[in-house]
Amino acid sequence: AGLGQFCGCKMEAVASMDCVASTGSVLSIAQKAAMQSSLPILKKNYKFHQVLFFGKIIGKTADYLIAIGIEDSWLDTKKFFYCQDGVAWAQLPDVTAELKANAAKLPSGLMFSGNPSELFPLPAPPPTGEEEPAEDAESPKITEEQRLAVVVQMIEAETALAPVGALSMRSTGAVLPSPAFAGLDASAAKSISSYVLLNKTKPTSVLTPAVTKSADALASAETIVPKAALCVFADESVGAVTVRNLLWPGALAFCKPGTKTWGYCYFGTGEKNQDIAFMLP
Amino acid sequence: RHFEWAGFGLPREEAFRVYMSLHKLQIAKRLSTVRFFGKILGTTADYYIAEAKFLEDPEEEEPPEGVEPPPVPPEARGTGCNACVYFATNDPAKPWTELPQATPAQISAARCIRKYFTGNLDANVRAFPVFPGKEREYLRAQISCIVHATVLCPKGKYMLQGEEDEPKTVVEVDKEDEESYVPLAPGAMQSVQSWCHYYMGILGIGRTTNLPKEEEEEDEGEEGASKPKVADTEQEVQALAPVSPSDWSVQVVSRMGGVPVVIARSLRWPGANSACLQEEDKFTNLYIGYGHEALPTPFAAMPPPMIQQEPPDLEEQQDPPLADENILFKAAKQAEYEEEEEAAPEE
Repeated sequence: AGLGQFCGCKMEAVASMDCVASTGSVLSIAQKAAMQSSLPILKKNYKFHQVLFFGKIIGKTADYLIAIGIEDSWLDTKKFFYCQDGVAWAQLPDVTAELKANAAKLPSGLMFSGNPSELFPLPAPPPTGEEEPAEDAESPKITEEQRLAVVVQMIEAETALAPVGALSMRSTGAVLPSPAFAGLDASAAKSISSYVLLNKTKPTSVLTPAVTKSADALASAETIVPKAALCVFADESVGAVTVRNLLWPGALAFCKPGTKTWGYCYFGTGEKNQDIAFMLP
Repeated sequence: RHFEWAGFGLPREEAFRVYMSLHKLQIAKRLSTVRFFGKILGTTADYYIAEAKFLEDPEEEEPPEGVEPPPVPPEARGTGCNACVYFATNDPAKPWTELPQATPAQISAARCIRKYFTGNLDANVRAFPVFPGKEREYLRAQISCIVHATVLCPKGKYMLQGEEDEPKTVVEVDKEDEESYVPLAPGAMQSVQSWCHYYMGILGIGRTTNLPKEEEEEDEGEEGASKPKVADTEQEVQALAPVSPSDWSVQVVSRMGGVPVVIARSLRWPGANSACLQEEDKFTNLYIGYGHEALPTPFAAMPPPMIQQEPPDLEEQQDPPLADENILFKAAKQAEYEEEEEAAPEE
C-alpha cells in the first residue's frame, strides 16, 4: 500500500506537469497520452521501483522527451531514457569520465539537432611541438545520443530538488521516499531552506545519531552557488509552489503544499547560464 | 491553442484568464486592437505583456522646459519602435500598467546590459553602464528588441504600401487582387524562406529609422572638415524582410485529424515562437521567456572608463618678498596721487 501511494504520486507526474506549465512548457495531449501508456510499460519491463518523467530537451528539428527509471535508490541507481514521440523509449548510454571530458570540448551554445545519430566532430587538440598533425588521423566524434546523456545527467545531478523530509537514507545507504512525509505546509514551501538537493549528500560525522543521519542526509538547497539562482513562485490557482533554477534555465522543482505531490523536471535546450553573475538583480 | 500541440505556451486556464483580462483592458482603455505578446519571467514575479493600439492617440505631452532634447530623438507615437503601446501586469486579475514610450537611448543602453527582471516595475536596474531608467523602461526596451526581431508573418500575406521616399505602411494583401496576392503552397511554410519579419529592424542608434539628414551647408572653404557624418548612418532594415535561417528553426507538428501546425522557434531569442496553420491562413506569435538574447559568446560587461590621470603638479613659485611688494604698491599709489593732482589744478 505504501508502495502504491508513491507509485501514484509519480505516475501522476505526467499529470502534475500542470504545476509547472505557467513557465511556458506544456505537454501536448498526444504526448501526455502516449506517456501515460508507455511509462508503465517501461517500468514493468525493467522492473523499476519508479519511473519519472524528467522533461524535454529542445532540439533544432525535433525535441527529446527524457524519463528516469529508478531501480533502487534515488541517489545512485538511475537510468535515463529518451524518446521523441512518447512511445518508444531508448536507453541513453552510460556516462563515463572520458565521455564527459569529450562533451566539454564542444563549443558551448551548440544546440541539439534532433537526430540522435548525428555526429559532432570534436575540435582537434592543438599540435604539440613542431610536428605537423597527422593528416589521416580522424578527429574523434561524439554522437548526439552521447551528448544528450552527458547533458541530462549533468542537469539532473545539479538541479534535482526534493522537499525536506521526502527522502531519507536507509541503513544500506540507499535513498528512498520516506513514509513519514506528509507534505510541506504552505509557508515552509516558499522558502528555499525547505528543499534539499537530491544528488548531494551532506558530510556527516560519526557522532550524529542514526535517526538524524537518515533523515538529514541530503544537502540543503541553500548550498547552491549562487544562492539567488533559485526563485520560489507560489501559484495559488493550481495550488503548487515551483522553484525555478536560473543557473539552468528551464529546470524546475515543484510541490503541492499539504499533499505528498512533489517532483522536478527540466524543459529547455540543455545549456547552462554562464552569465548568471551579471544577470542577478 | 496551436502552440499547445508543439509543447509550448500557457496552460488553458491561465490562457483563458489572460484572455478575459485583455478583453477588460480593451474596453477600459478604448483600444482598437489588443494582442497578447507573451510572458516575461522574472525572479520574484512574472510579467504578462499586452500589445495594443489606441483608438485615439492621447495628446503628446510637452517636454518640460529647460531640458535639452536628447541627441537621438525618440520616434513619434504610432511609428517605428513606438508603433504599439504595451501594457504589463504581474497577474491577469490585477489592473494593467501602461509602459512608457521607448526612447533610443534606452534601447541602446539595454543592449549593453543583461539583467534578470525582478517583477517589480519600479525596481532599480543595477548594472554598468548605468541604465537610464527603472525596470519599466528596461522592460519596454527589451520588448521593443524582441518584437522587432521575432514577430513573423508568412510571406505574401502583407505588402508594403506607400509612395517613394515616404515611410511605408504594412498592409494586408487584398485577396481579390490577383496580381499582388500569391498564396503559398501548402507545404511551403515548412521552409524558413516562407516567413518574414513583420516589423522593421532596430538600428544601432536605437530607432528603426535614421534621423532626417540635415541639409549640408554650402561652405566652399570647409568641405573636408565640417561634413556631417552621413557615411556612418546604418542601412535601415525594411519591414517584411526575409528571415535568416540561422536564427530560426522550423518544426512541423502533426495533429491527428487536423491540419498540421508549423512552429518557428527563434534561436536568437529563446522563447519566441511563431505558429502557422498550414492551408489555413492563420498565424500567431508568442513569447514566453526571460527576455534576453541568446549570445554566441559569454556576456562581457562594458569595462569602466579609463581612470583619469592626475594633472601635472603645479610648479612651485617663489612668492615675492614683502618689501618688493611694498615698493610696487607705493609706486602705484604715487602714480594715482600724481594723476589726481594733475586733474585737480586743471579744474
